[in-house]
Amino acid sequence: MRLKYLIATLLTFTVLITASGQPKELLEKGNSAYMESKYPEAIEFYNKVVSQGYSSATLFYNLGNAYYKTNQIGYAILNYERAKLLAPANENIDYNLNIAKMYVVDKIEVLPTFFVNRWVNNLINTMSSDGWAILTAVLLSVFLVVGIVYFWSGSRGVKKSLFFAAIFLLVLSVFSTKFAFNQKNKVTDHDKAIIFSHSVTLKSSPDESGTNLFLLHEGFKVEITDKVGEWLEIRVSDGNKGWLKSSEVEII
Amino acid sequence: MVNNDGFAYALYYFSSENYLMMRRYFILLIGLLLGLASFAQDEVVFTGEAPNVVELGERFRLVYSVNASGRNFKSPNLDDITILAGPSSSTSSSVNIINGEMTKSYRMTYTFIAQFSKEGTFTIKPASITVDDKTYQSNEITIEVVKGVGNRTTATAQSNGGNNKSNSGISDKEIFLKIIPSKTSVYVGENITTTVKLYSKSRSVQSSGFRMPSFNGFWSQDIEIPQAQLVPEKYNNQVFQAAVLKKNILYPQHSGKIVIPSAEMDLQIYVQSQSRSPFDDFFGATQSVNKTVKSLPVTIEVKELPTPKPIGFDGSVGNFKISSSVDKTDVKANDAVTLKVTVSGSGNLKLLKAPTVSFPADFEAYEPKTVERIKNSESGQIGSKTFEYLVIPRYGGEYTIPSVKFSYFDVSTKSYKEISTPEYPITVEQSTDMANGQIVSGISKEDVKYLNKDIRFINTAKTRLIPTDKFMVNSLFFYLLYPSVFIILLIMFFVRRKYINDNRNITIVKNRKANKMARKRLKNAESLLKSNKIEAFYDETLKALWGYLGDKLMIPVADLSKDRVGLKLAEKEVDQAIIDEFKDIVSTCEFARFAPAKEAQNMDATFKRSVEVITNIDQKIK
Repeated sequence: MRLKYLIATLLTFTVLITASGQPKELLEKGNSAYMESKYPEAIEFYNKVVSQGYSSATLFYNLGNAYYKTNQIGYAILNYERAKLLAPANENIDYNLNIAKMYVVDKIEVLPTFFVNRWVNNLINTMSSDGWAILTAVLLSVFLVVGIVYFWSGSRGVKKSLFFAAIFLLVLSVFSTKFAFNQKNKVTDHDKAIIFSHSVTLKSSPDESGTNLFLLHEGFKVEITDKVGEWLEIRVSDGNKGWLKSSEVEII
Repeated sequence: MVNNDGFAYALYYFSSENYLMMRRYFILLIGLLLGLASFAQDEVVFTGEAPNVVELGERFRLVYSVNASGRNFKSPNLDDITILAGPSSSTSSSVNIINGEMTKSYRMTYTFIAQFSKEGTFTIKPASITVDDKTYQSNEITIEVVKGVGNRTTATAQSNGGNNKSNSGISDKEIFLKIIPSKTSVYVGENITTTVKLYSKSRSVQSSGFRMPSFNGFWSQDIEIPQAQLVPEKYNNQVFQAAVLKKNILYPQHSGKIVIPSAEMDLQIYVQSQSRSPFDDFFGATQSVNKTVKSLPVTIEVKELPTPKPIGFDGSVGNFKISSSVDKTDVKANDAVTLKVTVSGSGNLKLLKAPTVSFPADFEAYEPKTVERIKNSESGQIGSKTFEYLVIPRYGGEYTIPSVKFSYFDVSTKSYKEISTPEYPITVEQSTDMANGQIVSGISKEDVKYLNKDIRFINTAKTRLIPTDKFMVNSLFFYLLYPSVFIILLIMFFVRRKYINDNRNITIVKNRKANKMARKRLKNAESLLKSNKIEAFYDETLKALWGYLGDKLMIPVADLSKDRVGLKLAEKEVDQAIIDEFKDIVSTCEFARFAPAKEAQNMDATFKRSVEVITNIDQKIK
C-alpha cells in the first residue's frame, strides 16, 4: 500500500513536469499510458485534464477504466457516473458501470417507479443536453419556415394543415428544450454522490450522538437531500434516509 | 527376599558343626539388623497434647506420645498443675502389609490426669525422652484456665439428685445450637458468612439428625469445612465443647430485614450414672437422653445500595480489579480478534455477567465465553472471571475497541467505584483479493458469469473536450433562439399584412376609378375614331373595356378572359343580354385588330355600343 502511494506521487511529479498545457495532448498521453497498462500514470494525465476545467464523456469513461484497473472502485464508479451524465446513451459506460457496481457490497432494493416516468426517463436519456439543444434549434427553424409559408399561402386547405404542422413543431421544440434542461440539471445539480469510506454508519440526525440507522459501503450511490454544516442527509434507492459527514462521500 | 535367600543359604552353610559358633553370631547380627532396620527408617516424633481451655477444677488429660521405644521419660515442671494420676504408660505397635510393602508403626504414650486450681494461662514446659541414646523434647503446651460454673466437680451429686437436671431433660444452658453471622448489617449484594455451631457441656453427644434452615432472600454457597469435631471453646466465660457443623456464604438479594430461621439438631446425650471414682468420665455406665436443639432465628438487616447508582451498575458488590488484553491489533479483514476481559477480586463474583462491549458496527461479535476461577472462602467468594469476546472485522479501516466500564460498590468505603479497560485501536487491512468470500455476498447467482469478463476498453477516438458545465442550453445562441424565431415570424406576419393591405387598397382604388378610367379611355378612343386611326381606336376601346371590367370586378390582368368576366358578371347578377353584348363587342374589337379595314365602318357603332355596355354594367355593379 505505501509503495503504491510512493509510486503515485513520483508519477504525479513526472506528469507535472512533462505535461504540456494542452488538454487534448494530455488526454492522448493518458490514453497511451493506459494502453501500456501504466494505469496510475494514465489517471494522473486524465485528472490533469479535469483539473484544467474540461469535461467529456470519453474523458470520464477512460478515467473510470483506469481507476477500475487499479482497484479503486469508489473512484471508478464516480467517474462512470459522471461520464453517464454527459453521454446517457453510451453502452460501454453502462456496461463498465455495472461491472464496477458488482464490487459494491450493499444490495438495496430499488423502489419500482411509475412506468410512465420510466418511459419518459428513457426517452430523455437517449441524448445529452446539447443533443436536445441542437434538436430544439432544428425544430424551431422548421417551425419558422412553416410559419412563413403559412402566411404566404393562399388556399385554405394548405393554410390549415400548415397551421397544425407549425403548432406541432412548436410543441416538440418546447419539449426538446425541456429535455435539454433536464439533462443539464442532472450534471449541474450535483445532487448525487458516491460513498467513499470503506463503511459508514448513517445516523438519524446530523450529530455523532444520533441513533445508528444503517450501514453503507464504498461505491454505493446515494441522493443528497439536505445539508447541515458538514453533515449531509442522503436518500437511498429504497427510500431510507440518513445523515453522514460530507467527508465520507464524493459528489458526482 | 535377598535376606531370606541369603539367610536360608547361610543356615545351610552354617548347619555344619564346624561353623556352629559363627552361626550364632550371624543370627544375632541379622536379628539386630532387622530390628534396627524397622526403627531406623522413621523419624522420632515426640509430642504432648492437652486441651487449650479448661475450667477451674476441671479434670483433663495430658498425653505425651512418641513413635519409638524410648526410656527415661522426664515430665516437665508441673508446679501449677495438680496431678491426679499418672504418668501411666502404654505401648502399641502395628504392622501393615500393603501391596507387598511392610510398614510398622510403634507408639508409646505417657498419660497424666490433671487439673488446675488457679485461673489464668499456663505454659507447660516440654517433656523429654531418650530414644536410642538421643534425647528428644516435646512441644510446649499452653492452657487457659477459666472460672467455670463449677458443677464439674460435683458430678456425683448430679446423678443422684437433680434440681435443675433430670434424666429426661438437659437444660438449654448445657447444650444449644447457634447460627453465628459474620455481620448483621450489610448492603444488598454484600456477602456474610454464617457458621452453625453446637455448644455442649458434655462431650458425650451424638447426632441423629441435622436440619439446616432455608436461606430465603439470600443466594447461598457452602463453604467446605473439615469433619465436625467437638473442641473446647470459651463461651460466656465457660468452657464448652463446640463443633462447627456448617458454614455458608450468603448474599442478600433484596433490602430490608431478612430472617434466617432456626437450624435443628437431634441429639443423644450420654449422661453418667452413679459413679464412685473420678475416672467415670472414661469408664462407667451411661444413659442416653434425647434432646432436639433449635438455634434462635437471626435477623440480618440489609441496606439498599445508595442512590444514585451509576449507569451500567449491575449489582456487583465487593472489591474488584479489571484487566484486559487483545491478541492482535493488526489484522486482515475476516481474521478473528479475541478480547479478554478479566474481573478479579472478592465479592459476588458468581453473579457477575459479561459486560457488554460496544464493538464497532462492522465487527461481527459472538457470545462471550466465560471462564470462572472462584473459591468460596470465609471472606466471601474470591477469584476471577474471564470473559473472552471473539470478533471478526469484515471491512478494512481504522477501528477502536472502546473501553469496557465496570461499576461496583465498595463496602469498605461505602461508595461506588468504576474501573475500566483501555481502548484498543485495531487496524484492519482491506482484503486485497476482491473475489474472495467477502464480496460473494453481494453477487447474486445470475451475475456470477460476469466475473470472467473485464471492463470494456477506453475510447481512443478523438473527442471534443468541453469546458466543464458548459452547456448549449446556457449559451447565448440558445437563449436567442426562441425570441428570434418569434420576432422573425412577427415580422413576416406584418409584412404579409401590409402587402395584402396594399394590394387591397390598390384594388379598391382601381374599382372606384374604374368608370373614370373607362371614360377617359373611351374619350381617347373617340378622338382616335375622329382621326380615323382604326387600329389604335380598337386597341384603346379594348383597353377601356378590359380595364374597366378588370378593375371593377377586381380581376387581375393575367386572368382576364371573356369567360372569366362572364362568370363574374353572372355572379354579380348582371343580365345575360349585357354579358353577351360585352362579349360580342370584345370579339368585334379583336377581330378588327386582325382585319381593321373591314371593320372600319363599324367603328362608330362599336364605340357607341361600348359606352352603353359600360354604362349598363356600371349601373348594375355598384
